[in-house]
Amino acid sequence: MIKNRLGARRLVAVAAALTMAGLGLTACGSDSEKSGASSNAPIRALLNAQPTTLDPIVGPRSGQPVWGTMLEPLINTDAKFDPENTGVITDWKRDDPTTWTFTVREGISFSNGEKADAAAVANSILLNRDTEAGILKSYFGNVASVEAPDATTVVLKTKTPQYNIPNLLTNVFLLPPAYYKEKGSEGFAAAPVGTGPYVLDKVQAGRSISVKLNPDYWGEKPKNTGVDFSWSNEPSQRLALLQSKSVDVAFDLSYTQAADAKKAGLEVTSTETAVKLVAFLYAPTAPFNDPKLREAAALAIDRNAIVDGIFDGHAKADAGLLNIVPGSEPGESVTADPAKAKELVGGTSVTVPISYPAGQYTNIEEVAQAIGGSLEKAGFKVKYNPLDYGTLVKQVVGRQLNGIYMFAGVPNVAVPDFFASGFMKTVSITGNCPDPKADALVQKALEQDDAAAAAPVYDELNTLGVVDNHCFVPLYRQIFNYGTQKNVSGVQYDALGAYDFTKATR
Amino acid sequence: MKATTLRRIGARVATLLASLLIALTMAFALGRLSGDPTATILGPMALPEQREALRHQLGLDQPLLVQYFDYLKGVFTGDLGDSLQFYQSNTTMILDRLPFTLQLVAAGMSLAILIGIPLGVLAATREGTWWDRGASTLALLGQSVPVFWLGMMLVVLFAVKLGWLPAGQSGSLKHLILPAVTMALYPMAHIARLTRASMSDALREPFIDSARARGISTTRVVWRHGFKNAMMPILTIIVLQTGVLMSGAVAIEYVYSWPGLGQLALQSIQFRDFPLVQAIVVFAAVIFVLLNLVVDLLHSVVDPRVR
Repeated sequence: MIKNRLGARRLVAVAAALTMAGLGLTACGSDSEKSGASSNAPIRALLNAQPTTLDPIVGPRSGQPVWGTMLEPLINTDAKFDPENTGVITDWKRDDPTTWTFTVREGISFSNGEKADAAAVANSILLNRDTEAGILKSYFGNVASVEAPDATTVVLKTKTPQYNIPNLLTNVFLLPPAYYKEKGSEGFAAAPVGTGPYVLDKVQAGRSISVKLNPDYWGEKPKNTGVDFSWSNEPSQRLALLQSKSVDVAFDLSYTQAADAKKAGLEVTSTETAVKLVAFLYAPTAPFNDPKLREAAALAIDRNAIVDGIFDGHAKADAGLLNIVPGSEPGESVTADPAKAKELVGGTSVTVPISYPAGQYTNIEEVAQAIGGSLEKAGFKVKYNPLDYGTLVKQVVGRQLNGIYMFAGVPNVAVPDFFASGFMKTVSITGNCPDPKADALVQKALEQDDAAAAAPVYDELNTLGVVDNHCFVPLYRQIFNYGTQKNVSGVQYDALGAYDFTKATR
Repeated sequence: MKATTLRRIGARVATLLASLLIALTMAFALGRLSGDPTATILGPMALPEQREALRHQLGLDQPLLVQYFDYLKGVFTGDLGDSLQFYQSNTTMILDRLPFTLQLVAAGMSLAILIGIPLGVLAATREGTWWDRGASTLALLGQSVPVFWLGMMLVVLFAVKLGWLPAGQSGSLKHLILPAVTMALYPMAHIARLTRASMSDALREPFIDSARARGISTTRVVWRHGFKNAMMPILTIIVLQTGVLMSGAVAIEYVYSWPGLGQLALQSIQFRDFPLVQAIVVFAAVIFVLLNLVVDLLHSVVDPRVR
């Protein structure tokens, strides 16, 4: 009889079996708890998201904390983000305005034994230029050819003069040509091979990625034996994992969490980043095709009030557009003047749409509201237009937005051209401020001999876009916080978002 | 097998397939409504021709109907496509994460059954007493407390303050305890309330009085005669709640950084990785349909009247 087959005991037995199955599965995937500390033990680093891919050609920056331990940039940078000769490329010279010769360090190999020579360097640059979905493709459009005449020489020619080629190479990572070709993007991402201080140790799908020391590393050996990366999207969970000593370092803490971490006796490091939030005023169409109204809007917005009122000082007000490196200031800027803004609006009824990527950046809704409030005080009517990030970018690129839109510029390299070409040219990402004079200045800056010669041109360009045309209202730089255990030292994070674990100990 | 039984099974399978098709269509439509993935993949600095090339590569430049039929063809041939953000096969990624979600659901549901059923029986056999009120209050609380909040509170108490258990992530048995307890609460409350109601009805049946009159012990009367007859709705709810838990795992996996399907779904939605979102929805829909089939089969096994 059925009644005899399925009884209460059986149900309980099924539940117990399920429990055992759950525990069994847990045991299958279990690791021993790693809580022991020693001076050179692996560093347990908690990121804010799972790296999407470990292929630097197509992968966004979220993967760089991990691939950056195994792969090396072609050119290293110093503390001021200027190129220096300590990396794979040890020297460079500009033979003529469009020809560069680079010298590649001798005797370096990839961890799979493949030679890391000039041919590998040239191949890495070309991969960035030619890969259709390449994340850096747009930066290398001016590169005409890259050749390796011998094992230590790379010759790069550009279509038009471009002084910042060495700067761009600080963001190109050296890849093994044969291995990358054999494996393809997906295969390489599953098991990256580079010349860096670490090599891939273990990948636990969706859970963690571990790197260990590269025994054949050509440079200074790291002070630890490896890095175990894990991730948590939930900010409070990152703090909890740090507080419960499950990790040594947790990145991307909000400023309230940073304060909590400090209270809990943890070390917190705050870094002013190059990530800059900007309000773009769209000049080709109404209402901001009227220069007077653009000026009114620029004068109405008070970036200092936003930083103090919304971020409690945990962001850095920044009045310049092209000053990439934190601490640098523009020659001229616009200071808030609500009375003059009101006078310029003059009681006319003008509606300004404010578009912003809802939820994309910390407190972006509050920032949009603060800007809207300032504009209303000046006499504008405001219409809020929250969009998801993808839609915002699509509409910006498609020139579908008028009024004001906001998003953050996230420079990969510390060159003003990143924002100048990206935002200020007539044919640019935003195209919000078409001006032949700006186009000419962008080109003139690139044609200079070096960064020092280009600096005054960029200053002039900044003044044109921000102070004269009032097309850009730079707001603030984001501050990035990370927490570490008391016994952990040496973890480094820089303003451009690069991580360095080589000096970290616990 | 009788013709009526066959017809009934055929009708049921057709209904389930129709449900599956609706779920697949909704997943496709929502994927297309969630914004342009090329902007997220390539970032704001990409060239317009790069965006167009990627749109072509993803088939987004095809008419919607063509995209839809390509998608259905992929689903029915077992090709769930590649992830836009991870550059991996969606099937591989889902299979990598599935054991973690199953582990969590198995542990959570087991806890829910082991606590919920005795609690419901206790309340039903002591109707109107403090036991009954206590169990009912506990069940009500379990259904009212948001899992997200409960998860955070458990983390603060057991991981941060007391340091007894890990705050999250996976790896050892200790890592499973807090997520499993959090996951168990809602179904435990549901099962307890349903068991109480179902058992109360069963215990009022004449055959219970008859069993008692024959001198059968109370435990035997309750479990062997009462519970067995009250089991049908409880079984149904357990199976269906298992499906609900699979989808409800999102919040718990997020709170505890548990590397299961829920976490993957969330990541794919945030990145507008619509092939992965669609693949997860397809997978979840298939599981739900199968669980419904299990409920039907269980009904016919437990209750001969529905055969």
